[in-house]
Amino acid sequence: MSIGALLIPLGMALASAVTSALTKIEEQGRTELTPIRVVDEQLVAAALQRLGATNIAVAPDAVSATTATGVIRFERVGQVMAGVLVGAPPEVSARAVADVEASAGLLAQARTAELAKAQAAELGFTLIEERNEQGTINYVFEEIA
Amino acid sequence: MSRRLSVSIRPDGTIAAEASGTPGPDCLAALEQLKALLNAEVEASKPTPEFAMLAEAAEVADEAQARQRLEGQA
Repeated sequence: MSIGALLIPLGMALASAVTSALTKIEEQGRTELTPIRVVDEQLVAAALQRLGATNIAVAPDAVSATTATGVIRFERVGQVMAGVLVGAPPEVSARAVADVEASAGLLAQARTAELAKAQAAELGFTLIEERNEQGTINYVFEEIA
Repeated sequence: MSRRLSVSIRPDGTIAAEASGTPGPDCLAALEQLKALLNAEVEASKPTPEFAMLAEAAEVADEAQARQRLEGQA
């Protein structure tokens, strides 16, 4: 017997939080902002650093940095962070923000993979299979008898 | 059959997981283990077809037992 689940790691948001942020952005007429599935400012900052951004400044509910294409700014909208590449055309800004989201995803992936391996023994499981398929890390854990 | 947790950690950070080998509706408790293992929140969960079939059978058996009890009382 089995059950399947979709999970979101700590620091990232449920899809509904992004939908809710989009509604808020439209209500406020701030359509220059693109929301991402990241809750944690530090994760945004780490994602920017991973992309080579400089002058990264983190404040409660806000992050800014200088990238190769200009200054990028994030602020909290509802639960999630939303960003804009200052002065850039909307599609260029949305792409730059999406790059940060993708970078955050890769960092969260690495963090979760490491954590799962570390936590398994504590929960009474052992890793019996490990595969990397097109960027997805697959683990199979079996309960220790 | 020993309990297994299969985990796929995607490049966007989301995680698809499956817990198997858990007897009956206790499978739901496996979600808690997945949350602890991955330090994550459940966005959606769904019993596999096998789970749904067996859960339905268990429900039918429970109803039959309840009916028997009521008939016994009458």
